Amino acid sequence: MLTLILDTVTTAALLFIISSGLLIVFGVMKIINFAHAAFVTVGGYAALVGSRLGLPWALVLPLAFVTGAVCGAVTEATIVRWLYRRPLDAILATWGLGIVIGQIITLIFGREVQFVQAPITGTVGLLGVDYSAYRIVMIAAAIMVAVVFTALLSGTRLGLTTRAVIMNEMLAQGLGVDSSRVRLVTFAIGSGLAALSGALITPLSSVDPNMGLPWLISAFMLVMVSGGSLFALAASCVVLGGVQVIVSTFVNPILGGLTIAICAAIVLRIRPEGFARA
Amino acid sequence: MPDVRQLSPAAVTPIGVSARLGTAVLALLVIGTVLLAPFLLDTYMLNILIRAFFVAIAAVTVDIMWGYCGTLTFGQSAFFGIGVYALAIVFTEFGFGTWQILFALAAAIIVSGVVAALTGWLSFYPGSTPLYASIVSLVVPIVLVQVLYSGGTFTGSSSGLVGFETFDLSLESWFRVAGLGLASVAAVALVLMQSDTGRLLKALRDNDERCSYLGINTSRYRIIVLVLTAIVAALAGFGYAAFGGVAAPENASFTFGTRLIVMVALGGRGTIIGAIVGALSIEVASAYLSGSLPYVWELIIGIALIAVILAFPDGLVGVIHKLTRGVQQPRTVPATRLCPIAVSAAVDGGSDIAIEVRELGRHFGSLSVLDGVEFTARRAELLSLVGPNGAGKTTLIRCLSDGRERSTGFVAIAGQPIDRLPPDRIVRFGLGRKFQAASFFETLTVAECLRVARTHRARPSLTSTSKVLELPVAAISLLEQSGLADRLGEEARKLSHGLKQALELAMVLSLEPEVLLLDEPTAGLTRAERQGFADILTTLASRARLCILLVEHDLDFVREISSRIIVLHQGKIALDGSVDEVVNSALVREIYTGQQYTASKVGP
Amino acid sequence: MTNALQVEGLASGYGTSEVISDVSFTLAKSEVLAVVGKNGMGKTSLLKAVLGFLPAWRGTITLDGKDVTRLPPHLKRRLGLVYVPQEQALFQDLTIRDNLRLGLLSDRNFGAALEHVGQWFPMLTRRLQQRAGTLSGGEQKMLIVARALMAQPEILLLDEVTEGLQPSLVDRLSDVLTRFRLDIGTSMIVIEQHLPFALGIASRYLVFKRGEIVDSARVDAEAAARIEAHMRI
Repeated sequence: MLTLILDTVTTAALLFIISSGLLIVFGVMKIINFAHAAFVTVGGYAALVGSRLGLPWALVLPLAFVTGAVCGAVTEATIVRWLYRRPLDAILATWGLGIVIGQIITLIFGREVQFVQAPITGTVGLLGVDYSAYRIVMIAAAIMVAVVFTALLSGTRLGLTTRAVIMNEMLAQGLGVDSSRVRLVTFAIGSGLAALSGALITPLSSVDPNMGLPWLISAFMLVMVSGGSLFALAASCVVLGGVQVIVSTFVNPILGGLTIAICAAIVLRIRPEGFARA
Repeated sequence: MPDVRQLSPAAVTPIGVSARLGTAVLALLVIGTVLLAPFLLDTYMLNILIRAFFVAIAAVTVDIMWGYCGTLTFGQSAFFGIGVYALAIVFTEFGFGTWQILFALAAAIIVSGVVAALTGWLSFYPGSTPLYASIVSLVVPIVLVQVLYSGGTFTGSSSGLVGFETFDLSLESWFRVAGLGLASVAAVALVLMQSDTGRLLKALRDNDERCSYLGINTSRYRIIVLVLTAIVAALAGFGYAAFGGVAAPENASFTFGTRLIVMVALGGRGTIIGAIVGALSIEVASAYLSGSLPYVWELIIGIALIAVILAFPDGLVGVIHKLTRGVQQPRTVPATRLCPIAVSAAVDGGSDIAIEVRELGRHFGSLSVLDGVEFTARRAELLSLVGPNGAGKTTLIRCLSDGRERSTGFVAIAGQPIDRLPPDRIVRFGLGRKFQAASFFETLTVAECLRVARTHRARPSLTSTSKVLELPVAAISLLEQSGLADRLGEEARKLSHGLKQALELAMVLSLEPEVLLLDEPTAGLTRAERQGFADILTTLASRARLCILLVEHDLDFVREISSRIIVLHQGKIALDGSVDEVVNSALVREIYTGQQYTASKVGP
Repeated sequence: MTNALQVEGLASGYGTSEVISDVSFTLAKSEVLAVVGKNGMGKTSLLKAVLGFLPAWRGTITLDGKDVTRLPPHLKRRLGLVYVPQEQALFQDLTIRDNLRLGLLSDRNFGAALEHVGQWFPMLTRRLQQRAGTLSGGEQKMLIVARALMAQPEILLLDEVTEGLQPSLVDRLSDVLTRFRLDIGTSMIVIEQHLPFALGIASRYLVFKRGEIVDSARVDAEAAARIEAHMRI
């Protein structure tokens, strides 16, 4: 039972970290970035490079974030910027970008699956159950991400202007806010987050050019269901993550992989704006 | 006998005759190529092309859903996969024979049809967005692939099914079968898409809301198109597996689905030919290049996709079109003739009451946009609804035309209560609504817009474009008066603002409405245009006995044409009376010239 | 001395519809110009065109001698052009404090500006953490004006600012705006249906009808009567 709960919480944490970047972009720009998976992969490979170079994990994570942020900034400036009025085309163009990034990574690193050593290995005894220490760390990481972002959003000037642009872009512009720059920065941060999550999950599984893909759909569905609110995203990750864990454990792991997508599609049918505060 | 008047210049030109001849020659060329090509191509190429033909059929279905209907669908691959597996499973379990073939065919058609119907029900409903439909279309192939993975030996799990006995045809015969199959699908698709029905699909894509308000059940059309394209895609999958003898989960995957979209995007969406060109090019190039430069080829595709979305949205076909435009002959479209039809006279003895509103309220939480609105309007009345910004006028129009909009109260149009019905049902009671910003179909011509407007009165043809447009007299006189009658072949988006407004009104009049709701129709019109509008509206009310409800800011216009004015203020009716009563009231003067008005003061 | 704002031959609109045609006027420094006219005549569109929310199809806009016709709205704000829109002028979900913060271009002098504003609008500075959407209509208007004045604007564009305000607040507003004009030299364009208020603070007026200026004169004793003649139903 405890294992089940822990599994749920760690799965939720993982999902949250991966989806939060997508949410930030969607919340500000109403654009779905289908290159998100590719940025996750970029982060994974940044971690690979970092650990090969012998960098301590404390440097590897920021390295991954920065790499992702730079990719995101370039993407926004060259591709996404022109597609704000064409959201479906933006999905396609970013999907194309995802293909490009995936292929470039393959050309550089090859197709094989590679492994990154976790910074923390072994298990931790928790209320009588031995649980992977690194997974517990995931929970801490997720909470930190949520806290840092909420702080950024509510505490800083940039957070204020970003919230203003989300709520009413024209009013914000009239008040002197450069909404193009807000979008650029938001996209960069969202992409940086994606890369960061990629770096964080590599010790749990492996690194290959398509590692981000399976997460893309779940992250996408979670973002749609959360309707743009970070808090709702966290809640959705817990609820839907829990359902996924339960189905995987008691029914069928393959069906488990589907639960998020199916549940989300049904929720959206009933309540198109998702779980965000009405 | 209705008299047919020729209102547009130039009748059928010689080009009309050549067009038909040209099409016949083209068809013969295609068939000839398909029959003769096997003698000229090597085995490897034949192999690739046969597969490519089946994939191209699936790509054509994607183009119909995306290029014409406007739904970005990742899910056509799922239906393709259903066809593939229907054949593979039946032949693996039951062997190969006549009844097995028929059974597999039936399975492919029925399963794909049912899954498509379910998907359609989930994706297309009043209030759904194109984004949501895309999301659902994404989930379907993912679910299907997982189902395949968990099917054990029945579906072959991740390895798929192989080694089942299948049709024993020579490579050349397969080529002809697949080639002719593709050619037929292309021909049928082209005919359908160029017909009035195809125009209707484009109208759905351009402006779903306008279609609803023309009495068209947009969800039903979309679901029907989805089911039909799904069956065609399944049959293509059937052929693919019949030839290849292999069924793999990749055939049903999301990746394949996006591949199909890439083919359509690169070839040119919305042209059918583009889908075929894209599919064939990519399949052939993939086969040759992915052996020697696997990752570079994928890279090129990714870059090409980005380039197409950003710079060449019309794809390869679009680029070729632009390059050859100087060389092409200007296409003379055969002229469309307008033909007036007599509108059936109002039923005598039937109630005269056109709009009935009782206790109407619209609340958002504690905010009350409309409260206790109550009035009745009769046929032949020209009723103006005035009031300052934020008084609730447009909200009232919405509550009258969409049964789901109001919070409380009762509304009846032409004697029929609207309950919670969606706009397309209410329009069929006899309601026409004209929007404030001219709402029509960007990519269609004037004549095509009008034809779509007639949809619920006269079913559109599946195979051709009607040369004769039958419209009510009121619509025709509007077209003549505004000058649109001479510009039936022009693209609607190129018209001036005033003409766009006239076009939309003509479209609404084509519905033969009994009740007409107009939202600020004179905004942005010149003096002359406004005068013309005023004349048309008064004629409609007096001669055609329409009940017209008009929201307006321009009080001069209102005073000139109305028989009655309702003043709305802060969500309540402040005044309801004749033109003289209202115009001379102290209350209205207060509202409009800026002295303080408090809600407690009611009445002149 | 250059004019604060000079508009020549401005034409603009939406899509294919021209809503403003050939509009020319000047706004001198420290001057208040009232723009009056019936609903739906294009007054708000005029402001939007000056600000850059609508494209300038023809004509020029000059701010203190500088050609700003093609400048985007957020850069015009940096030149001291402050806009108070008629609708959706507040971020309902943000606190009073955050709304006021957005009145300045950075948080640097926020404290001082807040104190300054607190002198005229004490009830706002007492409840800084309250969500703007929970304020009454009149209080929201005050917040909007306070935010606009925080930045000590060069030019203030007010669109129907007195709408929904009770008479006492209208008087208050009149005082505040006049003080600003005298102390800082802010120029103003005031779109108004409320004639007494508009003519009380303005020195000149324009009558706007169907996208064009049909009358332009100084404010004097007969101004109200002349304007009413234009607006007669």
